[in-house]
Amino acid sequence: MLAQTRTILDECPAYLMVSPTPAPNETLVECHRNDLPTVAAYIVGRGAKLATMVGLDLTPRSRNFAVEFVFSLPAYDEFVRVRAGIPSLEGEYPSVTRTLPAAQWYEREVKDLLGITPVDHPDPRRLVLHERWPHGYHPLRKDVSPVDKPAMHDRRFDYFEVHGDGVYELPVGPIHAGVIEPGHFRFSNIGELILHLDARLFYTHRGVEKIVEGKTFDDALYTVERTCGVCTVSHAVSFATAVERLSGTRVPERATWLRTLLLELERLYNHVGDIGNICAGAGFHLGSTQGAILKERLQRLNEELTGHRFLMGVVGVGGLRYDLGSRALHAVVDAHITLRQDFETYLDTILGTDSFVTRINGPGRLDAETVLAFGGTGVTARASGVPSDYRLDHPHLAYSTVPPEQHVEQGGDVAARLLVRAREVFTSFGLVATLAEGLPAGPTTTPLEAAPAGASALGYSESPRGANVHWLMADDANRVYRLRIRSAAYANWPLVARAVVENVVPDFPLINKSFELCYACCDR
Amino acid sequence: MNLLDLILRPLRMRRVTTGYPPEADIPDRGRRGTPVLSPARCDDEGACVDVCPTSAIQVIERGETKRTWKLDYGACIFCGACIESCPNQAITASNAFELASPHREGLVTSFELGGTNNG
Amino acid sequence: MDEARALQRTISGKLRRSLHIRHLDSGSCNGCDWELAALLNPVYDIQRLGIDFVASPRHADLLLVTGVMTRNLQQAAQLTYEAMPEPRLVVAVGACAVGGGVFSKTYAAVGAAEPVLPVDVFIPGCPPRPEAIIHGLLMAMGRIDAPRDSRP
Repeated sequence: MLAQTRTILDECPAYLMVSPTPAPNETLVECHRNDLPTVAAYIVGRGAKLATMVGLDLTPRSRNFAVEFVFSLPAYDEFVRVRAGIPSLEGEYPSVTRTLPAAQWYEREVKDLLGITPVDHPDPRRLVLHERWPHGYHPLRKDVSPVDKPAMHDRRFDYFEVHGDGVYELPVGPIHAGVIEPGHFRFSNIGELILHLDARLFYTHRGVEKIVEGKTFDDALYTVERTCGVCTVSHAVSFATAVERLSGTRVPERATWLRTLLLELERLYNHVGDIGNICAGAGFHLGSTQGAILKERLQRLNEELTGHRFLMGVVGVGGLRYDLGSRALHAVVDAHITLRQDFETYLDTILGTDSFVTRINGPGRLDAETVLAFGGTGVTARASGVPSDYRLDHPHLAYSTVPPEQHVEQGGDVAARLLVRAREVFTSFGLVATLAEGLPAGPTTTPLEAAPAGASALGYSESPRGANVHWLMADDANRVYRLRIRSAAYANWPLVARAVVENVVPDFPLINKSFELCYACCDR
Repeated sequence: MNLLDLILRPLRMRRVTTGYPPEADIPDRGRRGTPVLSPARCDDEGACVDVCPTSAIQVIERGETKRTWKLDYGACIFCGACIESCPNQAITASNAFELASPHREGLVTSFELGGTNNG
Repeated sequence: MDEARALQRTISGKLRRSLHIRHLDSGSCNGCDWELAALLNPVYDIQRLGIDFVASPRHADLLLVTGVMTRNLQQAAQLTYEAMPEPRLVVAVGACAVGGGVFSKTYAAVGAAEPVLPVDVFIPGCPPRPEAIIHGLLMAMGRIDAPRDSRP
């Protein structure tokens, strides 16, 4: 067993049974469902962080459902997976959210989609299926058809209410004023001051996880990579990696290096675009338009290199779907030289504009303790003093050979999230050049090994927003049995609601844009 | 930051706005371009039909010897799998992008193959 | 059907010099949305064509729909369309809004934008590039009546 995992599990107060698992840095243990709160609290107390949680319908093979909490041990590159069987006639287990707030949305989701109740969850409202869906309808159960269209009912959602003199409710969305994804924000305010935000998402819930059940891994990838257009490489890499880890397939080195390069190209255009969007959120048009021009140049390079402006459809299961030419790669690296200078000038301009700098310093402050309690990841965490980056915590692909520099800010406000991105842009430019330079020759794909029936594994990557963790279980015909996508946005959305408290409503767009979380990644 | 510099810099920049319409400056997308059917090279294999993730390419039998091949750009996700799959390169990638239509049927392109002859 | 099309041409004729668009993401992966956002950048600059995005359906001539129509958003989508004053157009952008894309068979969505909304122009792509969206918008405005170069 993995060293740190063994140390932790040896002293666990509850009884655990170890099961084999194909991936080298994962350990799977089973406990009794009533022990879940104890085990979860204990493992987190030993320094672990919640990486994902999945609900399973195993009834075709046993009479059970199951829930599995996956914990990351970042300093050791180990994952501890804790699974508990849930007899289908019982359909419940004691909620862990009161001791592990990071689990709050995962448990609500499992209740909506599988009908497994987390008993004594502090917020048992609907999450993924909005209130108009029929009661007792749990689409991820194996006996529910993937194309059912149940009738909707007229019901009201129970928004969190704040009472007091002068407190009023401000509903925003789901359809927002700009060109942006849908989400409903129910503010409780006094004057302009936000007392509480009840954020409701899942308006772009398309049922990705049910769609891919029963598909071959190659076929499933087309859907998975369209979970989110701007994290498409990260989703494709996470999924493909999960398939490769559970089947024991070794991807050729050229492919892992190119996957790394593509992830950095995705990070580049996203970070530059997000900085421009922060300027837009502050009404700073010079910043937003100049940032948009830089983003456009980067997307244009994406297209010249891969044929797609969002790098969609390049990663394949087993490697890449096609090779990238060295001439095209060098053209990108060359273009980056000028782009990097232009970005530096751009950054000097916006950070030299006093009115903008005053505006971004202060709003949306998020402290490290809240980030850790809620399981925040990515830029959100790093800007609040929490060093969290899967490229370093769980080195994957070429990152073990070419680790990126980690950038951490302490401020936790809009400015901090902008600065972290800005520094990461320079790091990514450097990484792309290094990866292109040292790119190994050889094949870019390999045939997949057969996936053992019922085997499961994780696949992960660091998207521009943070850790994107896929949990995959294969059936007995080399197809998807269950896929759980935990994007960075899923972990970070609850933190946005915390960050806006005691800010003014007009700062909400600015604060929201400083997180720039994808609704589509979260909703699936 | 010198205020004059700040004001003058955008004025010194080259024009970045595209000339479209009418002139679009599109890079060559290689194998990820818009799929185009070439009836002359099609030998009725159907590899493209098997591999298309959204069934955008379909074959409709029209009696014993005639088959109609249809490519529906409205269902196409431009993944390029069909282009990769054809052993005769009867589907190639083009840079065409003005595909919009006021009618859903206007997005469907088709050709007929009669018997064992091509075209 | 033909009458409706003739009417649409008349409407498009009236909008020739200015078009106000309301964007509606009914379940997009966000790829199409970002290409729409790109239309406002200095490179594509649709404002030079007299086209602009507005914040409310009440101010809009055209509803630009991206994404598959999810069941969670369906009601809001219908209300948005109903809030638009006549004459109004609907344009579906991208594989999902045009035909459901890879999400056409799911419990969570009803499918493409039509028939929930009456679509006037379909713009395929995954996502369609900004120039393709401009082409579709101009088609909707009636500046170009028939697809140019649409049969590659």
